[in-house]
Order: sequence, then structure tokens, then C-alpha cells
Amino acid sequence: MKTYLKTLSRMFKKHFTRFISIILIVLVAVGFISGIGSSADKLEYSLTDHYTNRNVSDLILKTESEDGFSIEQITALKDIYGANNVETGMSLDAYINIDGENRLTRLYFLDNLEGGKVNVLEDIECAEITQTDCVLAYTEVSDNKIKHISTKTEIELDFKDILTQTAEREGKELDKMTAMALDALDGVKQTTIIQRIVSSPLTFAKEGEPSYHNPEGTQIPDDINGINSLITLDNILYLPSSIIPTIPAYPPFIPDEKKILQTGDIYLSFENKGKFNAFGLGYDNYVKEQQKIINSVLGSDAENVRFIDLNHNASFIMLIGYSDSVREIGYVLMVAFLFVTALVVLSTMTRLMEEERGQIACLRTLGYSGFKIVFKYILFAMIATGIGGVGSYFVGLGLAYLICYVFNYSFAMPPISSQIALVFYLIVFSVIVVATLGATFFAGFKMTLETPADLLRPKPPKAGKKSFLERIPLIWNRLSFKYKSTTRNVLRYLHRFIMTVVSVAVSTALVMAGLALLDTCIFGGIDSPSVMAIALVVIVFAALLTAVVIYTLTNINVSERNRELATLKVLGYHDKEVAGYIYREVYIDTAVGILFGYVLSTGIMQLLFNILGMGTIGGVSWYWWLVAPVFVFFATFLVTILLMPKIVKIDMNESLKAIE
Amino acid sequence: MSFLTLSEVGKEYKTGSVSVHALKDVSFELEDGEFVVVLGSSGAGKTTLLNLLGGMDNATSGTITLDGKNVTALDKRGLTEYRRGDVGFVFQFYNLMPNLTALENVEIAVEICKDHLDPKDVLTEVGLDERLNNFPAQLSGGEQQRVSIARAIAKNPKLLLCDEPTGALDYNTGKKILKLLHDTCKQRKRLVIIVTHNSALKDMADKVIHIKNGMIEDIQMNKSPRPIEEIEW
Repeated sequence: MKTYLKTLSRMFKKHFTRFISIILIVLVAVGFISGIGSSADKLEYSLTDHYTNRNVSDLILKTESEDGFSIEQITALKDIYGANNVETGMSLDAYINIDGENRLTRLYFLDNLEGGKVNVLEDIECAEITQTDCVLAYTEVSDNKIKHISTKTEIELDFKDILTQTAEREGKELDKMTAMALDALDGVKQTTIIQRIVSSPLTFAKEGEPSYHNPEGTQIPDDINGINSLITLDNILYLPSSIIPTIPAYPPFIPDEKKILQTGDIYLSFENKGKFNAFGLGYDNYVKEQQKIINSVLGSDAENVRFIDLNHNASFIMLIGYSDSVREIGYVLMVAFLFVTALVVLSTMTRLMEEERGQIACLRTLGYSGFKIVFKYILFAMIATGIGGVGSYFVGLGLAYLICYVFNYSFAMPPISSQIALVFYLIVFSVIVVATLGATFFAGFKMTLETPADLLRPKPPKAGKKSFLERIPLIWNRLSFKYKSTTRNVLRYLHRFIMTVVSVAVSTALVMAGLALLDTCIFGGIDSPSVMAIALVVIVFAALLTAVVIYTLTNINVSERNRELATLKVLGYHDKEVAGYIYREVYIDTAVGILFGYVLSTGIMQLLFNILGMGTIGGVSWYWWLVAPVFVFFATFLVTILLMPKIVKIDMNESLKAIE
Repeated sequence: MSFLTLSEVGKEYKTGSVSVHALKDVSFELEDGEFVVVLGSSGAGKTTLLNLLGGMDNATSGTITLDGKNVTALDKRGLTEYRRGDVGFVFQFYNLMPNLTALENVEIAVEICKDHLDPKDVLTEVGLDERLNNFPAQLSGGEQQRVSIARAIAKNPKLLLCDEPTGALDYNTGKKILKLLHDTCKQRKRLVIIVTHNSALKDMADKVIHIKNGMIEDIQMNKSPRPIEEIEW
């Protein structure tokens, strides 16, 4: 056993570059997929954390009734959901003069502005106000759509104007009695002063908060164009409900004194925070059940009450939509990455065993079992995969943070959850482990099927044969000698040719898909840098994958043909000419791979466009089709430079030795 | 000065602090048109000598001159040019390109030489005019070695180096190959050096160089070499 283990440790030394190849490809493939996948998980975790920490309202109850919610109804709800989970107020959208502009503004009149327990506001900036005769108000922090208001800005609210706007929106006129009462009212115009700039947990998307004025109400369209055409708010103000003026009693027309705006909103959050889980399984049903309970509490008033749940919250819906898209993109690319990885590992391990043929034969004649021999190679592959896998966890983690971070462009992102998103990583990694095991087992099994006697005989170099091109003299006679030889070589190692072409095709398709995404973001009129960032990540990793694949396959090619190359050197070929002998082949393989890659890329693109609900293949600018091969050829070029020393180092004495 | 001159040629391999002399103080002179056999048991330094003569390695001391050209002074590029134009190599295991036909295997060598012979003519000369378009896998060992010889001859080299040319062949085929090499030497007036451990070959050589432990043990001149047909082993 001790000596057997020695052969193992020597194998690592001898096949170090292969070892590194496997580590690298696992690092790139698993790192990329788990990065994409776990970023989607991380976005969801972050959203759930945000929901819990800020006690986000699961439901907003909005009544149309003129009298608003009764104290009894509110008390009953507090009894069910807890006093800390029920807040009350009133909200409406109206045009208000702010900083000399007429701005569409959401006005929240909150009964508990300062100590609110639901939808907890977070201070961004707070100014000390010394004026005591003004009502203090908060404004939502500015972003891409919401406009900036400095602290200490004074805003005048004309309640008659606000009520008139509301009535006109409903196609009515403000009723005469109220109008008269308001005209007579002293405090119909109130001045407020902005004390704080805050962020609400309900509005973190920077692309704008839809107004109540949208024709579909609070419905969020499920396509990006629909979202982009929504009417959005210019400002959001949070005011104490005490600012709402009261009309004195004027019997018989006005029996009792009353506020001109009633408590029309209840912000209600569920005690059981675990139910949400980023719109997880069962949440929607749970919300529906609660609505039934609430309806029974409201009694006959229920028909006037609208429920606004989180499915009507643009920020929540957009973030979860993006994270779903990211995850689905991950699924699509996962298949491609895993496929290529398995192919490369299979090639590497097959070649490795071919090279150790003599040793395997020797062990077999000594009576070692086939399994024990193959076990060594499985161990080799597993250790490489293991190292690559552990490393890829960190690559994935870095990538996930990067993607979540990039979401800051579209969202005032809730803090990124530090919860470890292992699921995606573990799935991908175990698939890779199984694929590697399978590939190694397959390659080893094939070899142990041969009798020891066959194994002892060296495997003759693959015979040459005439390629189909030779039957077309028109082409064949025009090829220079070098290219004739290359053409035959390409077809001689047909299975490696196919493997290279398939791998390059998949990589090219991935690069092309990444470029197409980028194009759609830049020119599609869609302002979503987060999708753009993902496109860039896809391009970078696809290019990396291409480089690793071409490196591995060319490396195998060079060692397979060591003897031929050594002979060329003895014949007086310069290093560059010797390299050309191999590299011409690599470039031809790459070129063919790119052609197939174009075909494959249309499929991947279509899938991605379907996921994102935007973009078409025809809409992709033509020049990207030229950029993709540049990427792939550049990767090939880098690899050929990188492998040059290996060719320079080939020992001419190889040509003198017997065939191993 | 002779056509090929070696004077005090040495080759030292260093591994860490240990240095091994593969060759030491090797000196001899050979003339154009001579048929020379270098004889030695394995490990004697035959391959090292072959590497130095063939421009595949640099000597650590001494000088090698071929037709007035100082081979030991050449840099890497110069050595490649030397192998390209001045040396023809015949390998023990033929080393043909498996994906090229017999004709193409000769062509790939002459393609980079200036002053070469016609590949078809040379192949006809070695008796392969019927096999021009066959791939190595379709040829017997003897035929493959003929292609290998044709490849070496077609370069029109100054020096033909053969490393155990019959090592992988059966007795009769081996004899035929040696005859071909001998004929080439005499008809084309080329210096042919055969490296072997088969001492029976010494009778057919004009000169026999015995190597042992990296040094020349003896240089033997044959006034009347015997034709290969008469030699048995």
C-alpha cells in the first residue's frame, strides 16, 4: 500500500498542469454558477431581513368610506395582530407646490409619525428646527425619480386645493357645504417644515414609486415596459395627522365637528414574520386567509375596503422579479457550464490514463484489481475537483456580493444579508463531483476492459487516413502542404475535434449571450444597470471558461503529439514552425466552434430574453456578432502564448526513445 | 582539415552538485564518403555523441567542425538551421508522421531545405515507388524505415546519422536496410555514421569507433570492408 501511494504522489507531480486544469475549470464553472445562483438567494434573504427588521406592513387597508375606520374596528385589529403591528393614518396623492414646482406628491398623514412601529422610517438626515410654530414633516430620500427636498424647506399645504384635486379625480366637484366651510376655515392652509429626510421600507426601488393615480390603481404590471410607463411620484411627505384641519360643527348641515380627512389607512403587519420568506411558498394564501379574518372584523364596511398587499409594492415586486430573473439565467447557463466542465474533465482523465497505460498494464499483470487502479485516478480527479470546489465557494461568494452590490444602482438596497446561501453551491458542486466521478470511471473502465496483454503493447499512434476534402481536388490541390497536414490531423483525432468544437461552441454562445444582454440594456431603452452588470459577469466568465477549455485541450494535444513534434525539431523545424503545426489545428477547431456557437447562442439568447421579458435576437446590434469571435480568438491567442514554453521545451531525445 | 573533425569534445551533465561526464575528450576525424560504425554497449555515450553530431545538443567542451562549419559555436537558431540543411537523421523507430503518406513524409522534410532532391525520385530509389500514397500504418517496418531513409537522403545532407537503424527490424529486413545505407554512402559519396551496439556491423565499415564509458576506446580502420551480404550474426 505504501508503494502504491507513492505512485499516487508521483502522479500529482508529473501531471501537475492537468491537475491545475481541472482545478481551474471547476473554479470557473462552479464559482460562476453558484455566484449567480446564490446572489439570487442573497437578494431574497436581504429582502426578508429588511421586511422583518423594518416591520413592513403585509397589508395596507384603504377604505373608501367617508367616515374612515372606526375606533372599534382599529381596536379589534390591534387585539388580533398586536398593538405594535397596527398603525393608522391617511394617504393620498396630490400636486403640491414644492420649491416652486408643481409636484405630484404622496402625503402620508400618520397618527404615529414619530414612534411608528410599522414600516419603520430610517433617518438619512435630520436638522434641528428652532421654529416652534410650524408642523414638522419628513420627506422621502431622493433617488432617480424622487426629487430632493432639503431639510428646513417650508411647504404650504392648501387643504381645499387637495380636496378639490381628489374630488376632480373622481369626476366630482367638491360639495358646496364643505367648500364653504373650508373657505371660512382659518387653518385650511398649513405650513410645514421639513425636519428629516428618511427612507421608508416600502420605497427602496430607485426607478420611482407608482402613484395611486395610475389607471390600474396599485397593480404592478409584470413586464418592464409596463412598469416604465407608470405615473410615478415626485415626492413623498410624511406628516403628523394632527395637521389635518377640523371643521367646526354647524348644525344642521354639519352635526359634529370633524376632521376633513378621516383615518382611511390601516398599516398592518403580521405577527408571524416567518411567513413572508421573500414571497415564499404559502405566503399569498396566508395573506388571503388574513384578509378573510379582517373582513369579518370590519363587518358591513368591508365592501368599501381595498387591500394593498406586498404584491402591489413596486419595490418588493421589482427586486424579487430581478432576483428571479438572475436565478433563471443561472439555471440556463448552469447546463452549459456543467456540460463543458464534464467534457473537459473526461478528456483530461482519458488522456492521463492513456499516458499511464504502461503503468496500468504493469499493475494489472501484478494482480492489482481494476478498481484499485482506477481508484488512483478517481482520487486524482476528486482532489482536484475538491480544491477547485472549495475555491469556487469563495469565487461564488465574491460574485454574489458583487451582483448584490450592483443592485444598488436600481435599489437603495436593504443591507446585504450575510446569511450563507449554500443551496445553489451545494447542488452545482455535487453535480460536478458526480460528473467528474462518472467521467473518470468511464475512462478507467474502458481501459480495464482491455486485457493486460493488450495494455502491455503500446497503443500505436493513430493512423492517418485521407480526409473527405481530398476527394474534392478543386479545394485539396489549392491547399498548401501545411494545411493539408492540418486538415488530416483535425479529422484524425475526430473525437477531440468534436470535443473542442462543442466546448468552444458553448463558450462562444455564452459570450454572445452576454453581449446580447449588454446590448439590450444599452440600446433597449431599459435603464437597468443590474442586468448590465450580470451581462458583464457572464461575458467575463464565459471568456475565462473558453480560455481554460482551450488551454486544457491544447495541452492534451501537445502531449499526445510529443513525439511528432520532437521529430519535426530534429528535421530542423524552428520552434515557431513546430508550434504552427499544432496551433493551426487549434485555430481551425476554434473557428468551427465559433460557427456552431452562433447557432447555439440564438437558443440561449432566446431563453434569456424570455426570462427577462425583453429584447429580441433580431434587435441585437450586428457588430456584437463580430465581437464575440474576437473574444474567443483572443482567449485562444493567450493560450497559445501560454503553451509556447511547453513546445520550446520538448526534448528532441523523445524521438529516439521507444514508443512507451 | 578533415570533412568532420571532433577535437576533445566533452559533455557534462550536472544535477545539483553531482556532475556526470557522458563524453570526455572525444577526438576523431572522418572523411566524405566514409561508412562509419560507432560501436558501444548501452550507457557508453553513443546517444550523447549522436545528439552532439546531430546538432540536438551543445557540447560542454571541445569543437566539432563539419565541412568547415564550427557546429559547437552555433546558437539555438543556428543549430536548427544545421539540422535543417546539413544533417539527415534515421531513427530506430522511424518516427514518421502518422497522418502523412510516404511521399508527404519526405516532403515535410524537404519543404524547409533549399538544396534538396526530388522526393519521388528518392522514394523510387529506395524501392517504394509503388507505396508513395500509403500511410505509415499501411507499411511494414522495413518499408517505414525506407521512408525514413528516403526522408533523410532527400534533404541532400552532408552527414547521414543513423541511430540503431535495424534495431526494430527483423534480421533479413535489417540487412536490406544496411545495404541501402551502404549503397547510399558509396553512390552519393556521403558520410554515413551508424550508431549501434551490434558488433557484427564493424566488418562492413570503413572505420569503426569503439566507445566505452564516454571515451574513445579504439578507432579501427578496415582496409577491406566486407559486403553486408556476407556478414552473419
